[in-house]
Amino acid sequence: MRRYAGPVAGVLLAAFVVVAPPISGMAPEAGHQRTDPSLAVCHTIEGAGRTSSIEVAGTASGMARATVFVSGEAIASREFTIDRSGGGGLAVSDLAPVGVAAVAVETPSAVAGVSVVTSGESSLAAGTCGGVPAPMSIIGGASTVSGNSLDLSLINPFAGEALVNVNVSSESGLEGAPALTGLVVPPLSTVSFDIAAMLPARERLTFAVEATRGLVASHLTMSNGEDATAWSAVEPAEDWYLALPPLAARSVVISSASAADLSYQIDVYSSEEVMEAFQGGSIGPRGEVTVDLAEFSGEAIGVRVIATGPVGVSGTVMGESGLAIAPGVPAPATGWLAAGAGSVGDDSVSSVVILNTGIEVVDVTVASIGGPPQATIYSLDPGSVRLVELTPGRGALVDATGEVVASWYAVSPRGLAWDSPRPMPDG
Amino acid sequence: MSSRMTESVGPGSPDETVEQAPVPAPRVAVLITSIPGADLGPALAAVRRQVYEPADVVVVASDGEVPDGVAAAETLEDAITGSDGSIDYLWILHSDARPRPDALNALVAEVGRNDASLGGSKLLIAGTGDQLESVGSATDVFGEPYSGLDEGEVDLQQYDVVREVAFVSSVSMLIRRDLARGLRRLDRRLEPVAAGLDFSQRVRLAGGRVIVVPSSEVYHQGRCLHHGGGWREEAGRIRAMLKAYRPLTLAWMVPFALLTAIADGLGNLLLGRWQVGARHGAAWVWNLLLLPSTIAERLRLSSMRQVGDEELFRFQASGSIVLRQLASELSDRFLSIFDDDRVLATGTRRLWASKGIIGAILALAVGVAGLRSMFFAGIPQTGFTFPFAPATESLGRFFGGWNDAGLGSSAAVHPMVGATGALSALLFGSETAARVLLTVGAVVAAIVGTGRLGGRLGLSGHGRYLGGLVLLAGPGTGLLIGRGSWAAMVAAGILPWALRSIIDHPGDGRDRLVKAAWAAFYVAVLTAFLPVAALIIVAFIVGARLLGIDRVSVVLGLAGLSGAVVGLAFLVGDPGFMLDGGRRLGLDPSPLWAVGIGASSLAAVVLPNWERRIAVVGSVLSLGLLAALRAPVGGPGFEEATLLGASMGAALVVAAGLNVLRWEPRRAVSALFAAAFVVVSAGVVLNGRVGLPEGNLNERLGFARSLEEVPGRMLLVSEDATDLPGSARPGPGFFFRVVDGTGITLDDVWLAPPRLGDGGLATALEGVATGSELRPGAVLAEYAINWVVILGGETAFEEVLRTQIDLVPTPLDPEIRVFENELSVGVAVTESGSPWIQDGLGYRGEAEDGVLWLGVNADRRWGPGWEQAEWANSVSAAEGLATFGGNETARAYAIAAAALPLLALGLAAWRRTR
Repeated sequence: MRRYAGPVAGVLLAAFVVVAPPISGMAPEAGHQRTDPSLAVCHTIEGAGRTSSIEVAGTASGMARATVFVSGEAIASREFTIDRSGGGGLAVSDLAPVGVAAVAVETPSAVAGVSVVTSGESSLAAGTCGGVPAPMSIIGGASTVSGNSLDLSLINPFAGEALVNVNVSSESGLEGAPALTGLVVPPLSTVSFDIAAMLPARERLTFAVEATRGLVASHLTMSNGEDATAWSAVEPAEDWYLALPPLAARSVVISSASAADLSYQIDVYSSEEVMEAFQGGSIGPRGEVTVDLAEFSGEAIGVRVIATGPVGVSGTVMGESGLAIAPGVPAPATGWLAAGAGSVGDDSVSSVVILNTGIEVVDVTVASIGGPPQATIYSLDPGSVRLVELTPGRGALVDATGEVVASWYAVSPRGLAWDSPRPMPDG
Repeated sequence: MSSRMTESVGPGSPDETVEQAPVPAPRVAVLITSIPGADLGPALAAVRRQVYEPADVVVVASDGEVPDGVAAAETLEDAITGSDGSIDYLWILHSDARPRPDALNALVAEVGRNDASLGGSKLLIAGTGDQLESVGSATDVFGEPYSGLDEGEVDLQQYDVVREVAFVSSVSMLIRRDLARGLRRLDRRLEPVAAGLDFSQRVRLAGGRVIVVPSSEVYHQGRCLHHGGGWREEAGRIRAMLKAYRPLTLAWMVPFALLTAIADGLGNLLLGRWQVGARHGAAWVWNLLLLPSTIAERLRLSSMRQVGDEELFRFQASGSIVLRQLASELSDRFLSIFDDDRVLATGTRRLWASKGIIGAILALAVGVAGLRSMFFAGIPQTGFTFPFAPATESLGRFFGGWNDAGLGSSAAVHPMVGATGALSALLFGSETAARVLLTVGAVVAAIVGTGRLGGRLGLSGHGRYLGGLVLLAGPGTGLLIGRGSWAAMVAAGILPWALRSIIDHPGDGRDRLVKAAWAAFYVAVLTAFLPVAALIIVAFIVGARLLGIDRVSVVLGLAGLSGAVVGLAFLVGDPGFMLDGGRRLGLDPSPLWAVGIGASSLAAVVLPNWERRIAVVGSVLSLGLLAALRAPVGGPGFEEATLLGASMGAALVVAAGLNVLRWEPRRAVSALFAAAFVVVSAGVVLNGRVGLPEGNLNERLGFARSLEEVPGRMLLVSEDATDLPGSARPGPGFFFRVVDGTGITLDDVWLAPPRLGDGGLATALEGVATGSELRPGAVLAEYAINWVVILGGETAFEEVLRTQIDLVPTPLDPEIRVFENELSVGVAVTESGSPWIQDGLGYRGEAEDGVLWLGVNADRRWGPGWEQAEWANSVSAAEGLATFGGNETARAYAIAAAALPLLALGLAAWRRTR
C-alpha cells in the first residue's frame, strides 16, 4: 500500500498545482485620476506702445506665481497675491522688461481663470491663458489680407523640448510651409513666425498644430492697423458654443482638423428664437468655413456648432473701435471664471454675454472678482441670451443653476476686447 | 621463497672456488647498530645463520647493553676505526633487521663483482609476507627519496636486477672498509633513510659506486622508522644535500627547496594536514641550528671529493617529488568528487566504465557552455545580480552597519552581503574574483552536488549529475534565475550539499558530531544566500522520512537547522520578506512542470524499490512546495525557497529516472520524463548566462558618474518591476525604487521595510503621478533625488513629466528616459552647500561649523550631534565625518551567524585531527 501512497500523493499535488490559481506578485497601486497642474500659459507683449497685464480670477485666495521664460530660461519669477475674492493680477512690466514673451502663471487653485489683457493707445486685446495644451490643437480665423499682420507663437512652457508640425491651410487649400514642419521648440521657450510675410494675402488661414514630442501652446496675434487681437488654439472637438457680443459685424469660423470631409450645422440663439440649422454644409479636409452672422446685428446672440468630425471654432467680432477674435468653448458649464473682465480701464465698458443652452430656466449669478463686492442674479429662459454689464475689477464669476455659456467683452475708444472665459468644473 | 634465493657465492660455495684462482674470500665485519625497541638477540642469531660467515661481529650500542660474548662499540665511528685491518668490508646492519641467511653472501658477491663501494640490500617489511620497503632509491634534487614502489607492493622479483641507485638504506649496507674509514662513519645525527642517503652520496662523491643488491633480502621491522619522527628524516635529507652539493648548486637549490616546502605546506593545508607545514619548518630550523656542524662536515668531505654534483644528478628524478605527490593527491581528491569509486584516481582505463561519470561530464559541459557569455561579456548586472561592494563595506554592513539600500535603514542587510564580503576578503579584497568564483562555482557545485546527493541516496547512474541541470534551471530555479536572482543560483549550488549533509551514511567513517557540524555548516552557508532555506530542509526531511528514506536523519536535520541562525537578523528586520505575500515576485512555473512531475511520480511505481522511493520523494517535495506556493501567505523569501526546493525535487526525479540507461519497459516512462526535464533545463542554462537575464544596468545608468563628480541619487521608475534592480516598491500605476548613482551593488538589492523617508517619498510620488505637480523636481529634491530614470515601456508617470518645468529631460540613452533634477543638492550637504561623499559606511567632507543634512532615513545612531530633520538627519559637520553607530541587535545576530559556520568547521577539523 505504501508503494502507491507516494505516487498518489504526487498526482494529487500535481492536480492541485494545476487547478489552484497562482498568487500574483506585488502589483502597483491603482493609478490616480490625472489632473493637470494649476498652470496657465500666457502670451504677453511689452513695447510698441502696448503693455500686458495678467489677470487671475479664481475661487481660492493665496499666492500665485508668474514666471517669464525666454530662450530656455526663467528670466524672472514673482509671486503675487490672490485676494479673498479670488482675484489678483500683475503687470508684466513689473516682472521683466521683455518684448514678446511667455509667462507661466501658477495659481493656488486649479479652479482659476487667467487672462492677459494687452492694451495700447490704439489697441485692446484680451485672451485666456490656456492650461496644459493638447498634443493636437487648431487655430483658425486668421487672415493676412489688407495688410494684416499675423504672428504665430508656439510656446513651450515645460522642461522638455517639443517637436512640432504645423499644417497650414487657406482658401487655396493646404499651404506649403516647410518652415513650420519638424519644428523644435526648446524647453521654456517661444518660437514665433511672421505668417504675413510667409503667407501674404490669404483671406482665411487655419493652423493645425501637432506636437509629436512635448507640448506647445499656440497663439495668434493679428493686427489690422487699427486694433490688434490675440487668441489661442483649441483642442479640436465636434461641439462648440459661442456667446457673441452685440456688435455690428460678427462671424463664426469653423476650421476642420480632419483629413476627410465633414459636415457641420450652426444653431443660432437669438433674442427671438433658436434657429436650429441656421446654416449647414460640408468642409473639405483641413478646410475652413466662415459663417456671417450680420443679420443678427445689434443683439447678443449665441451660436452652437455641431460637426461630424473634429473642428475648431472661433468667432470674429468687429465694432467701431476695433476687432476681436475669440475661440469657442466645447461645452456649456454651470460656472465661468472671466478673468480680466472689468479690468480694461475706466474708459471702457465690460459686459458678460450669457447663453442658456438648456431647455429649462436657469438662475445666473454674476459676481465681480477683485472689485467692489457685487452680485446680481438673473433668470434666463431656455435658449435665451443675456448681456450683463460688469463693475470694475479683476474679473467676474458667472454661476448658474444650469448649464450656460458665457463670454465677456470690453469696448473702449482704444479698441475692442473679447474673450471666452474658463469654465469651472462641476461641483 | 626458496626458489627465489640467490645462488650462494660465499666460502661455502664449491662452484666458485673450483675454477677460480685461490683468491681469499673477502673478510667481512658486521656492525650491528642497536635500535631502541629492537631485540638484539634475534639480530645476532640472524647474523650467525649467514652462509657467508663474517669475520667479526660488533654491536654498536651507546647504552652499552650488549649480550655477553659479543664485541661492542659505543659509536659506529668507533666500530669502523676499531675494525681489524684485515677486514675488507663492513656490513652495517640495524638491530631491527632480519637478514635472510644468504643476504651477506649476495652482498659480498655483487659488490665485488660490480666493483662497487657500497651495496644495499632489498628491504622487505617484516610481518607482511613479501611487501617491499626499499630496493634502493632515487631522489629529487632536494633529497626527497623516491622508491618507485606502490604502497603495499609485493615482491615478485620485479626489481631483481643489480643496478646503481642514488642511495641505499642504512638498514643493511655493505661498504668497503677503507672507504668507510675515509668517510669515517654514518652521520649519527641522521635518521636511517637520511643517513643512508648521506652516506651513499658521500661514497659517490668519493668516486665509489652505490648499488642495490636485490638478491640480498632483509626483513625490516621498521622500529628505527618510529624513532625521531618524519621531520627528522626530512631535516636529515636537507643536511645531506647541504653537505654534498657544491656552492653553485646550493645557490639555487636552497631557495627552490624553501619554496617547495612552502607550496607543499599550503597544499597539504588544503587537504586538512597542517602538520606538513610544521614539519618543513622544523626541518629547516633544525638545519639552521646545526649549520656549523654541517659546514664542518662539508669541509671534511671536500678533501675526498672526486666527482662533481653531476654524478649525483645522474640518479635524481626531475622536478620535485613532494610537489608531484601533492598534485597527484589533490587531483585524486578532486576527481574523487565526481566518482565515489575513485576510478579517475586509479586509472583512466576504467574511466568510461565508471557509473555516472559520463552524466557528470555531460552536465558539466552544458554548465560550462552555459557560462560562455559571461566569459566574454562578464556577469550580468541586472535584476538581483550586481557586483559586490568592497569587502570591508559588505562586512561592515553585515555586522550591524547602515543598510544603504534605497533611502537607507538600520535593518540588517541580506546575509549574502556578509558571505560575499567574507569571500572577497579571503581573496585579498578582490570582489570580482569572488563573484566569478561564486558564479562558476555555483554551477559546478550544483551539478556535482546533485550527483553526490544522488550517490548518498544510493544512486550511481548518469542521471544524478544530469539532475544538477534541472536543479539549476528546473521549474523554480529557472524562473528565479531568469528574474535575475544570482543568489538563487548560488543557493542552487549549495542546496544539494546541505541536503546531503543531513543524510546519515554509516559507511563514511565520520562520527556523528562531525556530521552534525557539517550539516550546520552547509545549511548556514545555504541560508546566507537563501534566508528561508530551512523550509526546504524541513520539507525534505518530512518527505523523505514519510516516504521511506530513513537515511535522512532527523537529528542531523535539526543540527543543520541551527544554520538558519545566519538569516535571523535579516528576517527579524524584515519579517515581510518571509511572510508578506503581497511582496512576492509573482513567479509561477508552467503547469506543464507539475503535470510532468506528477506523471513521473506515477511512472515511478514500476521502478525498482530504491529508485522508486527517491523519485517519489523528489516528486512530492517538488509538487508539495509548488502547492505551498499557492498559499496566499509567504513573502519573496518563501517564494524563493519553494521554487528552489521544487527544482531540487525535480532534480531527484531526474536522478532516479535516469539512474540506469538501458532499455527496460518499466523504466521507459520515467526516463522519458526525466530526459524531457533535462532537455528543457539545458535549454535554459545554455542561454550563455546560466539562465540569468542579459543586461548591464550599472553601465546604462553610468551617465550619472560621467556627468557629475557626485552623481547623487536616482529614482528608477517602471511599470514592470522586472525592469528595476532588486526589489521595488509599488507606486500609483508603477513600481519605483531609489539607487545610488555611483552604481548598484549587491547590498542594494533588497530594500528594507519602508521608514519615514520612504513613506514621504511614496506620498510625494503619488502627488507627482497625478500630474498636478508643476515642479516635481522641487518635491523630489527634498529626498535628494538628482535623477529620475524611466525604464522599460512608456508609463503614465512619464506622461505627467511632460507637463512640468523643473525636471530636465536628458536624452542619454535611447532605451531609458532620463530627467535631471538640478534642484537636488545631494544626499549629504552642509549648511554652506558643500557636498559630502559617501565613504564606506559613513559620509565624509570638509569639516565646517554648522550641521550636515544627511538625506537618509532618520536614525538616532547617526552622529556626531544627531538631530532629526523631518524624515532625514542633521549631524554636526565639525569633524568632517558622519558615521552610523551600528545596530547592536543586528550585530549580535551577525556575530552568531558568522560564528556558527566557523565553529562547525572548527569542530569538524578538530574531530578529524583527533
